[in-house]
Amino acid sequence: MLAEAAIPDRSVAAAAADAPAAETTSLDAARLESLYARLEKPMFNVVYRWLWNRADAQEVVQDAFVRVWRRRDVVRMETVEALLYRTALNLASNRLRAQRLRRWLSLEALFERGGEAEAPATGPDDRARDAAIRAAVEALPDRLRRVVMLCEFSELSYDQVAATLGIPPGTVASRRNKALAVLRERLGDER
Amino acid sequence: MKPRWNAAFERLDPPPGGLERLRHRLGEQDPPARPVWPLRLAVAAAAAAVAAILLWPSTGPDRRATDPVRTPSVEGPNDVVVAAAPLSDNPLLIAAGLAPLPAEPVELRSSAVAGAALSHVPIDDPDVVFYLVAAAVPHRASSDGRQER
Repeated sequence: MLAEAAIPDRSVAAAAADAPAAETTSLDAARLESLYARLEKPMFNVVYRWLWNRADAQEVVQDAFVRVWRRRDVVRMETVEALLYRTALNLASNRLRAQRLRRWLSLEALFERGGEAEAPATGPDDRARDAAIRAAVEALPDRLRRVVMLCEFSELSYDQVAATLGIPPGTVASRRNKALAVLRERLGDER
Repeated sequence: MKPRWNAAFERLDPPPGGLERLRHRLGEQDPPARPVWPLRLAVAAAAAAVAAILLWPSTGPDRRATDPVRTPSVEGPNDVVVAAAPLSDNPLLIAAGLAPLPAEPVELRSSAVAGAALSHVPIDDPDVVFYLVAAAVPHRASSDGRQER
């Protein structure tokens, strides 16, 4: 269990109106742990399709949980899952932008992290395959990538994905189909 | 051989020990809330800088030129002969689309009409109006009443 007592309780007066009415719907340490156990893998897989680095992806997922935990006074359990995905996606995008900026400034070497190395590809064929997959995914515009990754990896319904991304449910379906068409075109479609 | 499209959705396992790391991170003290005043100060400074850039020409030479009381007629040939552009002709405002391009013809200040010559010089660029201005520096009375040139 989390050491909840060690975490100072920060009440937000302004959020009193939005605070969960019943205690059963509030986010506590046990629920957060349960959420993490359930969502770590799907969130990791979504975020990985932005960062392509396992250590970075896991850190971003944890950052999302930490942020939500710090705002637990105003978080509602009914929407926490969507909030976690949205937070993780935004953090991943921000980190990707920061990486690109560092690369542009040629400062990448100064910020190289000693995190977990990527799983080595077993051979040139595997490396070429991974590169092709990455190129195909990165060719997707951000709005399509968000939709298709959430649809494929999360257990969110179309309506929940729509709520997470702030778009109509019909748009979720159309963007998902468009993204899959792009991937089929760039990658193989043999059955 | 190209991978199949659904290889993009191959499910990877996250590095082990994630829950323990998360517990450790959540057990740490929350960072103190960052003070807001540096951000507000930076925003105010940026707004002041923008305002200064936008308003500077109107408090500079143009304004002096429009104010015949504050501008001695001998300050410079251009000030002498060419009526100053009003604030709405500020190049920054024109560039921002907030003011129309000044229209021809150039007006001479009434006090300078007698001592100036103005000639329109045709050039290729239709967006630029070029005038050749010649001005005679008027006489000014010295403190002892003598005329000096």
